Amino acid sequence: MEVKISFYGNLINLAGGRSHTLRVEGRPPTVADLRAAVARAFPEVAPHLEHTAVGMGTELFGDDAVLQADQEISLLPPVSGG
Amino acid sequence: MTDRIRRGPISIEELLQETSGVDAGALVVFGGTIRAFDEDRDVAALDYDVHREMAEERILRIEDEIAAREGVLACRIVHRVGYVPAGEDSVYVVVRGRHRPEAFQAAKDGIDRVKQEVPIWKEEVDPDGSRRAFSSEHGTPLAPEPEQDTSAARSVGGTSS
Repeated sequence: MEVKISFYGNLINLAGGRSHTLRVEGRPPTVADLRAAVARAFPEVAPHLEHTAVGMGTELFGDDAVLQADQEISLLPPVSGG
Repeated sequence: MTDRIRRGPISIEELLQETSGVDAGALVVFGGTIRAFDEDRDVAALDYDVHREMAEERILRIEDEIAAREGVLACRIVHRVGYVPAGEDSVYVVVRGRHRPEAFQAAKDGIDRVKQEVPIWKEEVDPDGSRRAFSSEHGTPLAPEPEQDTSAARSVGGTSS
């Protein structure tokens, strides 16, 4: 499945930009599969994935969640607002 | 879309007016200001990144939960994003309560929750224009809410129909 992903915060520079399209394998592909695909495609992001949340729309999802082809996926590092 | 995330200066007068009421005996305003120094370095600005849709929703949730407390009458939180020069304010938490103890506590909890729960990230801009993103170790990781974690597959599938 091809999905659209967006990086935020310090991950943008590590990934070489905000928005990317990524192929994710799995039957069906899950958030865990997405993390593995991101680690392979973006080696500089990989060390940060442990503390990176995965969002679809305005909600966050755990590793068991199934990806939907029409959902833009957000990769959200630890927050630092204020 | 609501307007809790803004680009450009925030009008504190507007926030005071929006929360005004005759029952409140206490008004507490917390403002976060960009410091011109961080440890031994000069800082020209902070540049904030945001997941806007999620940030708006989370700030509204924080406001609602704080305003529902006993003795708290109103809570308004607005965060500025983009390039914010040193000396300017990046966030306001405005609380009106019946008395000062609950208003002080609510304002403190409001800014603490913004820093821990709202998807906003900052990058330090030096006077020479070089940039330094706050590393992941200094932030607070976001996590799915427990009740959404295990049912995520079903709820995601449900929204696509």
